[in-house]
Amino acid sequence: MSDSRHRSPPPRGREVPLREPSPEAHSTRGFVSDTLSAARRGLGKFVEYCTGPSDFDVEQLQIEVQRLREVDSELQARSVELEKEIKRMERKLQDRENQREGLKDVTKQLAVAQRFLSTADSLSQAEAVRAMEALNEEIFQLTSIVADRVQIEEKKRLSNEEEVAILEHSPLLSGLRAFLDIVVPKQLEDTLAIQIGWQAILVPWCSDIIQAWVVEDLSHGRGVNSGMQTMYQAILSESERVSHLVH
Amino acid sequence: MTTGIIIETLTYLPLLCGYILNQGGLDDIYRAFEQRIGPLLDKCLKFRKMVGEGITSTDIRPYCFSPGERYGPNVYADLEYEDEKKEKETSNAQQGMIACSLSLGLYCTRTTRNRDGKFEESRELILKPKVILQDTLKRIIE
Repeated sequence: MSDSRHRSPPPRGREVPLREPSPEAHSTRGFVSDTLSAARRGLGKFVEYCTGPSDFDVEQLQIEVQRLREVDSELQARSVELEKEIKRMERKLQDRENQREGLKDVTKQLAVAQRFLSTADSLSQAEAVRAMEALNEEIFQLTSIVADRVQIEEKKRLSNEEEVAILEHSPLLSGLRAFLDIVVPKQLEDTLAIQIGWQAILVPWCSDIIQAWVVEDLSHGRGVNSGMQTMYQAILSESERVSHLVH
Repeated sequence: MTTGIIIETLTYLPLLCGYILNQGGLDDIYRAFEQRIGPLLDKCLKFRKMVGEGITSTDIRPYCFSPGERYGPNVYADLEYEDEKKEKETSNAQQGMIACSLSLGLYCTRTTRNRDGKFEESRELILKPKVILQDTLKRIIE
């Protein structure tokens, strides 16, 4: 623009002056004009788009917008549903958690009860064992003390009839056949065998008392015979072991 | 509960064996037992009450062996008055007829329902009774 000072005054308004290309630009002219034309074409389209789309395009757009609106409301509805679902799940989860807590408590209580019961069980078992050992000791002591009162130095064997009579009179004794067969014929040196025999008599007697359903009242001052009758019947009815010995 | 019968039975034993020669001797033994049987009866009744009213979930019961029963490897009982030397040699092989019991044992029972819905009783032995074998009795009175 070396000679712009000497030209006519600059154009007003929109007029775009076309300048003659200078002779020096002659070699790049084709390229430039091509580029310009392409740009003009694109610009034209853009201008068209911005300033005045055709009726056909509007319809398209409207359809497009409507479709998008539908999709959007669908998605909204789905979103609401999903939120509800989530809330439901959360409630369920919370319920389960509460249940679990409840069960944990119950389990703890049961464990305590279980320990208590087992302890009570094993305590009771240990107690029972101790009590029985004491009872056995009592049997031993009692028989040992009275055994000292038996004079074994002089033995006078009973007659057959006398032996039979005693055994008939005392069913408990006849149950000791396995013992009597060995001890009766022998002249004892000490009272140990007598003590053992007495233990043998007391052991099943104690067992019967412990297992009896009905225990008669302890009565004092009754005659031996009536006592024997009652005792005999009581034993027969409550202990099949003894009744089989009698028969 | 009268103790007359048991005292009578006890008294008859030395009589049967030939060591009571007069009524006085008989009365003496009778009285001796009469005086001392009370504490034993008490213990029995207390024990009965204890296992009857216990808070256990199982039933505890006494048991003993009858004269004439067989002793063997699976018999749950302690042998009394055994020869120590003999015991070490043949401890597992001891067999023989039981002369009598010397003490009570204990077992506890538990009744449960098995898979078929039937009631099953299981037993656990918690105290062994003491017994003496016939052969052992023979030996110690020699």
